[in-house]
Amino acid sequence: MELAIAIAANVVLGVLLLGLFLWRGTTDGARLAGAAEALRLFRAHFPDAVVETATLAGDARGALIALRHDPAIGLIQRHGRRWNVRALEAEDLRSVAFVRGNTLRLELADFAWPRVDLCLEDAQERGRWRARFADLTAVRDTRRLLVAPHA
Amino acid sequence: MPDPSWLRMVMLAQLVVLLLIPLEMLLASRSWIRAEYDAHDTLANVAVSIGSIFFWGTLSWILLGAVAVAYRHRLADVPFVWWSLLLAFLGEDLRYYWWHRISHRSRWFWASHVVHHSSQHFNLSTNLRQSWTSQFSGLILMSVPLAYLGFNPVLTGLAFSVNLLYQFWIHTEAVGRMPRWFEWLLNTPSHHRVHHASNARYLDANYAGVLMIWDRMFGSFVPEQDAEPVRYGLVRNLATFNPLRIALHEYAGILRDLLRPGLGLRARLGYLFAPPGWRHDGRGGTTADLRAAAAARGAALAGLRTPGLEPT
Repeated sequence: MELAIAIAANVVLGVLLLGLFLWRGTTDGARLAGAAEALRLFRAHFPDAVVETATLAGDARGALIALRHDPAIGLIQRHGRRWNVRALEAEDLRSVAFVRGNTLRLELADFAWPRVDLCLEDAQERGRWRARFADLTAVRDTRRLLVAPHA
Repeated sequence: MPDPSWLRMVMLAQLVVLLLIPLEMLLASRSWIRAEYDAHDTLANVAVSIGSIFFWGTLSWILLGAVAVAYRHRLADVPFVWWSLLLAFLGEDLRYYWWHRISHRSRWFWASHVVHHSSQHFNLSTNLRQSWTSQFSGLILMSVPLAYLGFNPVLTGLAFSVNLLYQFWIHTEAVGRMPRWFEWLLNTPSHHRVHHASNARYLDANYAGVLMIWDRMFGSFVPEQDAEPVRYGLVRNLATFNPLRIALHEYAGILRDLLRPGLGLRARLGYLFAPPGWRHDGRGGTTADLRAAAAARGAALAGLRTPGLEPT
């Protein structure tokens, strides 16, 4: 009985909160203001990393960070009103491919972050990141990875 | 024996405090208090809470059975008087401290407790984000010794409920600092913000339930510094609001690590029981590693500031 009451109370709370969010309005989440903000975010999580450049996704909800003297690739992605930041190593990647022409799709070996889509509109940037990911995954020893050859 | 109506009152109080969540959200939306709510995050908290209550309730026989057996073979009969209530509360709070500390320091137990730390927000709804697996991680058996000593399980259950009820209000950014005596003696929002931080300086600190004295006694107290704002969440944050993934992600990580080819038994045990972030190749990011790196950075910066060593 107590179990049913406790679950019912949480369901009611959830409905109440959903109603409040709809009433008060929810924001669409954060956008990166520019490369400088992406680099600042990355440095806050990885203060020892030497960052080179940041490439923002077309919708400014994510970014890739090139690191100097390090094959790892920095990744930033919006998560609600917060940012998730990682330094991707070869073993973090299941697959890398470009889909729909200009969207970089990363399948990650992470149950809580299985996939990332980043729209890279600039063809030169796409080529640069394809090469970077190919370099990164080349160091992996046993597992195979597909880097799609088309842009 | 405590009157069962006490327990019902505690349960009712637990339901009533839930109403503080929409209240905090409303006040924050009008900028009257400091709190940040994200719709997806908050609703994920509620969904995780429903799962947690379901598994806690349906598997409570594990805890109740173990405690009942221990109490049947108890060493003494602790009477129900004011001092036994006080002792039960102290014993329960000490149990909570060590339960909490172990939950942070060994990955198997962390896999259960990490759920509570997996939000990048810190508000009253964070209370709801609780483990689904606490009944079978094994640490639940830490409740057995008090029953074996002779404390009536209803009494310790009451102490446990009061402990959890107290912890509700400390999950907030709306309260800055309490008076100094209060901050010294009791757990507060400031202390608990530190506990939910992912900054290297703040990791694995302030495990207390109610009394802060345990952290001061056992060397795990870290004060909140205005110069270093708290960054909530995990060292490796989640990118999902799916309650199933939130509740089970660390177990998936453990499984992935255990299935790495070519590992010896020691390495596999390490991935199961060593501190979170440990790696067999020494490239890990445990709290000790992260703090050492932060200390090295601090020392390097201090060196740069030493007269005669400034960069030219």
